[in-house]
Amino acid sequence: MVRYIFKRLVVILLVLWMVATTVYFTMHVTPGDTANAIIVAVYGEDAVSEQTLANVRHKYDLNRPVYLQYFEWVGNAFKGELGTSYKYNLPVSYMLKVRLPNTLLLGFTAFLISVIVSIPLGIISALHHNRLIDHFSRFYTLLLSSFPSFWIALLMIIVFSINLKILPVSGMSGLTSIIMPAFTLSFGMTATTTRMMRSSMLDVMGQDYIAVARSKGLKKTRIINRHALRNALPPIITVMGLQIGHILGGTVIIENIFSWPGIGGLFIDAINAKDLPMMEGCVLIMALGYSLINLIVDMIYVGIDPRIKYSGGNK
Amino acid sequence: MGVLLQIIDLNLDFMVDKKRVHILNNVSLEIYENEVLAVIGETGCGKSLTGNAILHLLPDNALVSGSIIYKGQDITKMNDEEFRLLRGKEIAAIPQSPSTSLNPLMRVGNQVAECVVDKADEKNEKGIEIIVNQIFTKLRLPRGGAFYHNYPCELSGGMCQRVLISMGIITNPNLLIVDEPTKALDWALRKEVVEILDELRKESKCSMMFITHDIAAAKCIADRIAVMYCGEVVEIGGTEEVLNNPQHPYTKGLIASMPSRGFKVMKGFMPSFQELPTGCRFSDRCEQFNEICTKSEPTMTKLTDGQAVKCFNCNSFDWGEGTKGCY
Amino acid sequence: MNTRFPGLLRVLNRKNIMLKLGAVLSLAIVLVAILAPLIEPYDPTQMLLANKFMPPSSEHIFGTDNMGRDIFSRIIEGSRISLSIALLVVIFSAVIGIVVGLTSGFFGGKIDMFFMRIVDVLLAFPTIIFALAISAVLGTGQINLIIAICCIQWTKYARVARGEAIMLKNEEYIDAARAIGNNSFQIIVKYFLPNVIAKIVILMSLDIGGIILFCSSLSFLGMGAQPPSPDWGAMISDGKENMRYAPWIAIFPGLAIAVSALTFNMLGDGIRDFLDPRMRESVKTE
Repeated sequence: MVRYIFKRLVVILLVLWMVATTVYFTMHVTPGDTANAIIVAVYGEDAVSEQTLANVRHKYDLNRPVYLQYFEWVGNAFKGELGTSYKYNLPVSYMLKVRLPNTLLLGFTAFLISVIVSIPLGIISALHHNRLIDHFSRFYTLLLSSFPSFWIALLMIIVFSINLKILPVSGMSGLTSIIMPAFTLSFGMTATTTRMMRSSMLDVMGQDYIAVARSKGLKKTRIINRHALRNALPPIITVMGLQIGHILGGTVIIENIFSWPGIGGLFIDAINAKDLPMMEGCVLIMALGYSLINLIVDMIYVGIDPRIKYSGGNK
Repeated sequence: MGVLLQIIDLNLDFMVDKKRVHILNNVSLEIYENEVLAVIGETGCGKSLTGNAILHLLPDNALVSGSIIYKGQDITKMNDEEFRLLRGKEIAAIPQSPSTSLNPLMRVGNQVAECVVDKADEKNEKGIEIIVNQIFTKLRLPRGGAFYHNYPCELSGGMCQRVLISMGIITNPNLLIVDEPTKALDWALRKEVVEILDELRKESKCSMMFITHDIAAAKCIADRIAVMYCGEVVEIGGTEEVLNNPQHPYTKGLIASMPSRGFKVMKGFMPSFQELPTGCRFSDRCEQFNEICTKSEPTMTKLTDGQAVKCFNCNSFDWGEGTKGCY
Repeated sequence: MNTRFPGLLRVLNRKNIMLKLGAVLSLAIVLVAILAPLIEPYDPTQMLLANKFMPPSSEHIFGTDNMGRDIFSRIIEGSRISLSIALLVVIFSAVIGIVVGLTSGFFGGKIDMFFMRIVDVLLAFPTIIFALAISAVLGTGQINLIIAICCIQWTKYARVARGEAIMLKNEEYIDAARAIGNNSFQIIVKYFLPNVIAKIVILMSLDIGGIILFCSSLSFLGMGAQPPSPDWGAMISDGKENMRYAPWIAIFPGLAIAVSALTFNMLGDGIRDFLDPRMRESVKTE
């Protein structure tokens, strides 16, 4: 198990390095001069002149060849230093550290909401296959997966903040401010997980061992809890791991709408300001978080399913 | 010997796309106390469905009529909860296909113990574990007490089959429905499983409905044999009588097609349940086909010694050579 | 055979209300996009500041925006943008995916390793982050939006095509084809492509709804078509500024996105259900 985790961590590091390299080179070999971008980002269009360009080039060490800058950047990145933000004039790693907890809080709340909604709904839907509740839940998930989350977010703001005035429009202040962002963020995952839970459960209920459990004369609740659910849930864990990726991605939009002070909003700001170090930092931290989550998910899966441990052979 | 279970005119239909498909047609048979009735027939002839009908394990789109009398009670009229208390305790089943009939995420010992835990006869879990281990030992399963904690994926097909057998016998049922216990096993294991079942039945004095397409296995263990074709019982009688003196042309063909009897395969295939021939369901494959066969349905005709046949020609036909003699 | 065919028809008649509805509505949306200039009551880009912020009325059924443009006309015009982007993305990524997937599946070894590592990197972070990073590099605009989404979307098709190719590679008739003198290229085109195409088309139909959504998210964030072209996502973004007193500016384009995504999702789901072998099995009696 330890060897497996170690191997996975090495792979994650390699992938991160490739991500960093790709991102670095695509961004630094972009049309338009980096120094120019910095000045526009920091001082505005009017400040661009020969003098300021020279100053900025000097200040950010932009006169050296790109590959040298790259090696320095990678070296620093491994130490956790991701350069200085052009826009905020603060270390990127500091900004990320300040903003990360907010994104984690929002993402985790959204994750929790969608687990609480989707798992029971999927199970009920499967147990009442082709009845009214099943049709309802299928229609509901179809709606959730088709409606743009940012539009639902705006509708919610119009209804709950502007008209009813019960929830704050934006920002992060108190318990009520997380309700709308977390709900809108959870919709995508809820839709997919409900569907998967339903089909996984239907699949398991059709298996021979469920008929065997019935022929043993077990109570229905016991058949569902001990036999059906235990087999239907593990595949869902993998699905949920992938869905966390969508939640992470969704923060970019949702944080932007609700002015939630997290990584996603930071990323959009960085893109709009052409703040290269900040963009690189955001992409890297998202990739790192996503990879780690999937590693954890895979470890949970190995823990639950004896078949994997057995065929893997590294106990 | 009293009658333990009696099936009277059991009819089973499935609703497929709002159309009724008639599967089991007037199936009648009885199982006496402490006897083994083998039900033989081709795959898809309805023998497993008959077993599942007794166990209330039919899919939702099944329509059942007729009655199944167990100890004087009609179990088709019972609701699920009433029957649940019988199922597992008095009527138990040993399912087919050992590879898919065990829950892959549950230790095999617990899967067997579960059969009694729910019945609440013995509350303490250690005691149950000991009983389960005793049964495992009796069935010659290896590794002593450690076997209890294995997952199905760690076992061979033969071991899984024996775990399934343990599930059937742990409650000491009065009637054991054994569905194709030798289907997925190789020859050596087949013999062993049949021997185990035979031993058990002698020991515990339960009755068995032994569903199989393996005539050799049926001969070893059964007191009586029922032959099914296309959802009907076409012949029923004592093992010796049916195998040595088959009366129905289908039984005859079935026996002639055994490797040890010359491997003569019957012509044609079993028809689909959606396009059955009129009259006798076997008429389009029958060698003794007559005018009357397509006009009306034959009824079960009693012969000597409890043997009964569903055929118009059963008395008027000269059986010829090759069907008599020992098997 | 004769029992199977009516069986299939019956499934089509019975269960696939979703497929039928999806197909009819999708066709309607495509027609609207094609006939857009005939349907629009006003010029979608004509600004009349005197008319700005008019609420929905019989004259402007969806109201007007901050520039006095008719929102209904803009939504109709916007359907052309959304559909053409979604269609181009699906086609380009399918083509790239098939080429990459079949070559890496067929040849295996180092080529396969190389492409699969690229896929690993692309899958290492949420898709929208990557798309945003690419559009940030390329700059805004419709073409760049298409490129950015294709950069991720092709991996889906590549994985399907690669899986099929690996499965087919060991078939005996491929050896036979080689024995009668086909070279690798001919084998891929003549034997692999026809086998893969059906699955890819299903995947494409499943994808369109999602891509309409994805595009609108990116253009909502300002990465897509630039003003004054009437992109649905961008229109919502505009409406966001004025949602206190003119909520209709944001509501109607969102409704357009939702309806079209729903329609194409229904079509995709319907097609998948129709082709799902498990559903067909229920036709058989046993």
